[in-house]
Amino acid sequence: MQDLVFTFPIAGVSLNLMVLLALGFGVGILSGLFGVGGGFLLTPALFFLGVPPVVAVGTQSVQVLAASVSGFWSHLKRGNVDLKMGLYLTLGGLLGSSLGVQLLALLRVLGQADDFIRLTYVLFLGFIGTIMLRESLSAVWPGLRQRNRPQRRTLHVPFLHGLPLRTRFPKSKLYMSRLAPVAVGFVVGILTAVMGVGGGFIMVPAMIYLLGMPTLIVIGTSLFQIIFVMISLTIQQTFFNQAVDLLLGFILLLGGVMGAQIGVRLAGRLPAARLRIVLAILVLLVAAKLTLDLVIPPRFVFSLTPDEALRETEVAG
Amino acid sequence: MRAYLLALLALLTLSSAGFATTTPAFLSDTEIRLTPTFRGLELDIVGYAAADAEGRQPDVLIYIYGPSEDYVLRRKRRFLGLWVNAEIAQVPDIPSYQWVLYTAGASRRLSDFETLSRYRFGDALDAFPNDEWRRGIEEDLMRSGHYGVEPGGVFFRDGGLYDGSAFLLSTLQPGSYQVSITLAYQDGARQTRALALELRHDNLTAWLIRLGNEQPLLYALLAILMALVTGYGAALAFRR
Repeated sequence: MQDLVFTFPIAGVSLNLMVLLALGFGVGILSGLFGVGGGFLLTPALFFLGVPPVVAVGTQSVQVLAASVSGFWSHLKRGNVDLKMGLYLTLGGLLGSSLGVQLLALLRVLGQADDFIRLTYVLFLGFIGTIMLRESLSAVWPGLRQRNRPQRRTLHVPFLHGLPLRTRFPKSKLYMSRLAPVAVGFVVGILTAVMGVGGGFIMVPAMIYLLGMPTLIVIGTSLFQIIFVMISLTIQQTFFNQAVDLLLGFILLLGGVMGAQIGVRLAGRLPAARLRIVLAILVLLVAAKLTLDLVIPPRFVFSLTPDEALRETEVAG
Repeated sequence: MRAYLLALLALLTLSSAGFATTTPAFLSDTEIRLTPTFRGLELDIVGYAAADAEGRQPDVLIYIYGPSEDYVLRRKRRFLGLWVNAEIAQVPDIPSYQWVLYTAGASRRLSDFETLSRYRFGDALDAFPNDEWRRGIEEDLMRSGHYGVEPGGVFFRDGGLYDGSAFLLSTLQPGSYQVSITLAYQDGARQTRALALELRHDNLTAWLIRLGNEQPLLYALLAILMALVTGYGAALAFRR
């Protein structure tokens, strides 16, 4: 196992190759199974392995892109993609992710990027994990649902449904404002850039409950948006943060794309609701670990890192 | 490797009387390639030190240091229940790697032992307000294996031969490193010898780093192409 340790020059760490492949593979399965990129689990896992958070976030764009392409192709062949909706989601995503990259660059200069990323993960994983757990428990045990409260198919959000520039989305059988998916994509885009995730774990429920899209169309359409946002992010993270470790990304995506294919095939065969319970618990456990890392007094209060800003100035000069 | 170097040095010592007045020394490696599979290396230093007129061997101080780099030091404090980076200070121009090893007892005998602290971080620490921050720098570098002091890390063998070793991490910065050897005699005489060590990335790693710094768009497109090809290839390979 010692012989399989690789040194990654941009991440500045030495990691075991098999651990990385297994990590990518496991997250890839989740990607194909649930229509999410898996970055929300893989990025914290990289933190725990010692990869600097900014590099973990930047490098994730490569792995998420590959896994999304792999999953998207399967959904496209099955006719489960609303390309028109995807284009508007992508537009919002590109705008949001650009803002997110600039925010991250500013936080790096202030020395707060790592802590901000961790805190963002704690909040969103805790929130998403709780909702997922509640929803999946209700699906498995309907008795848990309040008797007099019908299960809502769509949340009525006056702001979204009152927007102008309405158009038809035939594939999703919807008539709504173009700005609604742009707004959803924008918010997700910011999170994508800051957290190194595809955003599917937020976008999928948003598309179902806020936009009212059919579940069958949502996963493939979500992957479509993720692909283009990840392409943009990879370019921006390289330009502004020098945070993409090509070698690390390659190893992660090798496992990820294989796992995604397995996940797509399992999607129709395994009890999805029960699996979502497992996923929700996993998400909450990760959130708990990150919380402990932030709350427990650190063993060492000082940390010394190369001055990236000055190094970038010297390289540019 | 160390045994081989000691034997070679012994042979050279015996074969030339001129070595009695110089400080021959050798490194087990003078050029190291930092490849992705490089897991670090034990650098052996061997040399010869003649005894003084009274037959006493000198203290041997070996100082290994790497290229200087600018760092940022962060200190965490508790804010709203969370430990976050609250204070930041720049630490300019300190060696990215320092390892000091010397013969046992040298610290008692060296009249200028305090110069060992010079080997730590030079003038960079003068800017810091208190010892806590200075200790913070030292602790962090020691924890990461980029700084260390080994009292008794140099041993004398028979015939005036000495040796010591230092572990070079896999994550060290590429560049020119120096190994400075000082022989300190009890009558105050000093002899020094400097040896050079080069750490270089292998061609592929160096190219990738250069590409990322000088042509980020091309680097990003390469990453994207890699992801697209792998993703699409997996979809085709696993299609029904």
